[in-house]
Amino acid sequence: MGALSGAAAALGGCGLFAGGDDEPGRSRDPSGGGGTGDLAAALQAEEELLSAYGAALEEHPGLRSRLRGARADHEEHRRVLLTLLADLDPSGPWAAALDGVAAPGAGPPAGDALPPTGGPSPTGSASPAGSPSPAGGASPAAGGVPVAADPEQALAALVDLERAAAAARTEQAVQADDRWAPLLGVLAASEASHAAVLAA
Amino acid sequence: MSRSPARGGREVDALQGLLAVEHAATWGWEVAGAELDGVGLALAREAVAAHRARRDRLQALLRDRGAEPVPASPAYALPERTDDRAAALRLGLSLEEGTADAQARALALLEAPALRAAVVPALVGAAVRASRVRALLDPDGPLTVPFPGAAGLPQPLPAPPPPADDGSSPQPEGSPSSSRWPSPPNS
Repeated sequence: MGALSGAAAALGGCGLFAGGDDEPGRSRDPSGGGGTGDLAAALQAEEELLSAYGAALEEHPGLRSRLRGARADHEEHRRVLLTLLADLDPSGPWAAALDGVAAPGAGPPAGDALPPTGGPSPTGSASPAGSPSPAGGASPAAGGVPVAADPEQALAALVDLERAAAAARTEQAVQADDRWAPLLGVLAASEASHAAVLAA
Repeated sequence: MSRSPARGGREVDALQGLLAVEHAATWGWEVAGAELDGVGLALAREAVAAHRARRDRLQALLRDRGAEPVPASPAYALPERTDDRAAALRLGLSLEEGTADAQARALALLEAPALRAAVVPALVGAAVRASRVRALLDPDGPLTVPFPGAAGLPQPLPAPPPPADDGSSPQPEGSPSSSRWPSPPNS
């Protein structure tokens, strides 16, 4: 049985497999930068998530097995977004940041200096740690990101961050430049799946 | 009496394609559910409900645009027998991965924010259900993929650079494409 037959092939039969980039995409990116605004905001969110994961792992090494998969996914998100941004703007700051990303899992430490996108946090949360610090129990870890002393509360904070990121990417996907809406939707789906796995 | 043509050809085509996917996914999960019990069966029932709800929504969107929704096939041929729990779960995983791919593909074709707002949650839902199926198949294995639906992206994602001490080319990024999608008979 071949791949994607029958019902799924109906998409191909209707000419819906977009094989190229013939048509100029309609840009909704307010920065006017051919989509760099949306992607840069998504990248900033990934940096925040990676910082939060790093801080949680520094405080609670026992969470490593539970956080490993999502963290690796975020590293991939970061790498792909950096690559796309560097391609869009070869003379911009992302190309330099990309030089430090050698292979999956071997990127530079989260939180490396990147140009700020401005405005509210792209994860959608008010602070990198998301949930307010519980009474009697949060200490700053790597990069000053506060982490709850209780590992389950630290995990819950990451779940909140992932959910906020999923919501932010969803909103971006709805409004984005045609070229990037699918990728932003895929990122929303990834963050939501992380939240579901961590919360289980 | 003639019927007025459907508005927005590309938009209607995209919605029809998504509807066809939902028909197949609903049918496939009903088959898979017959081999499951406990948590797996609950997930199958939840998936059937979700795909049916999506089907209903897509049918309404199509009728709003003057189009006749594509019907479901009476049956679909499965790529392999699903006569045990693991095979049923693998089918369920393929259904959700394929659904995610289809949603991502449709996002490239639907410009209206209202339609995208209907598609992104379906992509999210498929990715979440896929992670839950992976947890049932192999609780100790990777439960998420970095880009659920990536096979539906209009352009492939940039591949990772090769490791410094290995000259072999890395595998391209993205979720595995479904080779286990149900197909209508004689397709």
